[in-house]
Amino acid sequence: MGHPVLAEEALARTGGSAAEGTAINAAGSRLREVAVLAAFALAYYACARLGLALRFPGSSASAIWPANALLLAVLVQTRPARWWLFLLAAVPAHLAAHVPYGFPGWLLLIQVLHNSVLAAVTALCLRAALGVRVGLDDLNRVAVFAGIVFLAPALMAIPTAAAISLGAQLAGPYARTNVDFWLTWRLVALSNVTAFVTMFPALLLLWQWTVPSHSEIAGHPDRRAALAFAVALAAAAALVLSVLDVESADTTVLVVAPLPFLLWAAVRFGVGGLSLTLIPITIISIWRPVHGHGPFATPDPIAGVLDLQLFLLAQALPLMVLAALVQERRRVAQALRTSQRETQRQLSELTAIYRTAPIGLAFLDRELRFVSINDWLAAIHGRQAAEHLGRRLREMSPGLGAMLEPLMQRVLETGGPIIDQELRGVAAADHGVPRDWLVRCYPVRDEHDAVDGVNCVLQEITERKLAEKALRASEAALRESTAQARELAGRLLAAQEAERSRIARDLHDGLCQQLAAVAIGLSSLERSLTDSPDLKADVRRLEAWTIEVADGIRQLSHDLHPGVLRHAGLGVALQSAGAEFERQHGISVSCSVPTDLDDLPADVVQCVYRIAREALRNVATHSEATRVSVKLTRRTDELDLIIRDDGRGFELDSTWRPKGLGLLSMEERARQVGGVLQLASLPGHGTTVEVRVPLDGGRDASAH
Amino acid sequence: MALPRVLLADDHTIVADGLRSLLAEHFDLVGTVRDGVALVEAAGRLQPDVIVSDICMPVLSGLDALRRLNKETPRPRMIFLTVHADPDLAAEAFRAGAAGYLAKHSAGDELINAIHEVLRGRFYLSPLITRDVLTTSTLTRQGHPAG
Repeated sequence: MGHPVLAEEALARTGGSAAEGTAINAAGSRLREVAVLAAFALAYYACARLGLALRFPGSSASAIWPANALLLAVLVQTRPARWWLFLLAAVPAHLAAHVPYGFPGWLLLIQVLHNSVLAAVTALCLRAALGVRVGLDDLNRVAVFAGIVFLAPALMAIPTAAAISLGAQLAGPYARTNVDFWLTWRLVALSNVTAFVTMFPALLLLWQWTVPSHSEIAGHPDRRAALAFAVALAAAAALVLSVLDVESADTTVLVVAPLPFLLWAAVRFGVGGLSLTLIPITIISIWRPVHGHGPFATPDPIAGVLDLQLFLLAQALPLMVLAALVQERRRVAQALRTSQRETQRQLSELTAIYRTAPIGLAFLDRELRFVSINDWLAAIHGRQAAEHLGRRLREMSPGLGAMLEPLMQRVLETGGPIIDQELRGVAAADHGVPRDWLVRCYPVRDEHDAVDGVNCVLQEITERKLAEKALRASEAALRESTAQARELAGRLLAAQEAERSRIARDLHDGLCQQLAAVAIGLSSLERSLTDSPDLKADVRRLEAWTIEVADGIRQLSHDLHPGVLRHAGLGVALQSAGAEFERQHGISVSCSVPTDLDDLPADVVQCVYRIAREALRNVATHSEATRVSVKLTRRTDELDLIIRDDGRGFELDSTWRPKGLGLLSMEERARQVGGVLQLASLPGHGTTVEVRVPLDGGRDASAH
Repeated sequence: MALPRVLLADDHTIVADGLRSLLAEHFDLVGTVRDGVALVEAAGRLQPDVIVSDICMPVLSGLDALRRLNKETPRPRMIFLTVHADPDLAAEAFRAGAAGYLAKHSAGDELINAIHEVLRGRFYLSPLITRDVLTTSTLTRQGHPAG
């Protein structure tokens, strides 16, 4: 059951939130509030008149006081802060109703005070215990309700009875107002209890309808039916009673005559509906003895009132309990129906998923016969799902059966699941084309925890396997081509080195030697020309040219492949290169090399020397450095070359890429001998190139 | 007075021929060899006053031949005549015990002078590479203790 908007909230909205709306809305809501109050006062007046009409003749005591039930119903649904409005509105209604009867003022004062305090206290208790809606639809709430509406009037009647007794003694009794305290207490208490028990639930309901707060309540067909039923019953009862000669009828039977209707109302409409029905019955029940009819029309009217009140309460309370129980049952049944519907819905959803899921799902019993199978898996076997039931997998698909049945057998035997087993096989519908499957088999256990069957989930992964295979192939191809590219680069470097070396040697050992021979020949010629100085001078010039040419070729040869590397080793060659660099570029070079370099492998020597030359060339081209250090260190298993300049440096972040071929070729040279090249630089803090080349065993392991 | 005995080692035929005719005018050319091993053998056998040798030679280089000859007494006076005008190589040659170092293309009068200088117990370095050798020597002292 939801939480309908309440009369209290409706009032709060109409009266309390005027500031939020426009002026017209505010005026409208204020008008509405006044109308509600007027309606309440009118209803209170009617209830009071009804209560006064139900007095025993000649007595100021009413058998029932409906006005207090109305006041209680309204207060329960109103915020306590606004109660004063209704309590005040009740006062003129109360006084107006009593005008024709000439009650003394002190008695009216006591009544007003008593009614206000009683309604407020009871309303507070009900709100605290049962909430604003009261909602008497289960046994506990009915019990709490009964407790409150018995106790509160009983307690409140004590001071009131005392005041009335005192007032009667002081002012003299009005009419036959009883001055006995206990009798007064009983009359006051019971007239309120009777009103609360029989009328409050109905008045609560009527007030909710009258102050329209929510369509759910107003439009509830059961409640409309209950109202119609109550009205019809009252009309029928009044008609029957007026037509029948009640004096001659068996009056005792008449007392229980309404019971079937009340039972029906209780079962059919709940406590609220019951109360609606109780109102006319109660009024008629009291009306008759008041006018001298029926079993309660005793000579002592007071005793008759008490008997009647007890009878009405004894009749109403079990009926309320019954109504609450029926409501409870109905709610449970409703909840059950709702949950059944939800379960049904979920079941059909699951069935739909099971049937249409793009994976194979099946459940097989201990003999590996199909208990259920979904369409997808059935389609793989080329059959309808229904054809599988009760048959074995291998009958439906021999290829898959041969692979899957041993797995499922294992699940049955071990009781453990098989998860993500990859299979490759030919399904019945595939005409010999193999597919890849991912299989999961779970044991399904019965209530005794014994394995009852196997739940099988089959997922096709043919595409994935193909993709994986293609990916692996392309990765391999890429690796292959990378390796080839690297090998090619290595071979190119080696070939370049060999070619340079060969050209250098050819120039050096061939051309230079021959030029030297020419120079020597010219020198001999010059010496032999003792008697022709002109010719001698020409020959000397030729000799000088020859030497110049030889010098140029020697330099070229040196650049291509320094003989010093071949003849004097890496250390001397590095120092020589440093010195040459210093001369050419005017950048100070400090060179530190160890002595024990004689046994280095030729390719390592070549590599380190070339990288050093390249690094120095970069320093000259880019760095704007004033000094550069070349440091070669030999460790047991590696050779470490560090070239550091004090130039401008650069930002070496993740986006930095070498601009020219120089660094790339340095890296490649290092890689050719299994070494690594590292570059470190910061703007304003120079650049450092470090090469580490493994020696001996380490080199073989890390090469390529 | 007998002419100074000179042993020539060069594997380049043309150069060796030119040098032979040059040297024969002034010295007693006791032999010509074409590789380092032959040089060591001939030097031991012929005991020349001066050896004029190339650095680059098959089997054993002139430098290595000198290093072997150093173990014998008397140590020969060796003048390297090479197309390597590399100052580092010159420095290395002097470290190995050479008495002279000349660029091959400046042979001629200069070689004759050099041999005479060496015979007088002096060292001779071709002026073509003198400047470089001085730089290298400085460098050597700084970073590469001679040893």
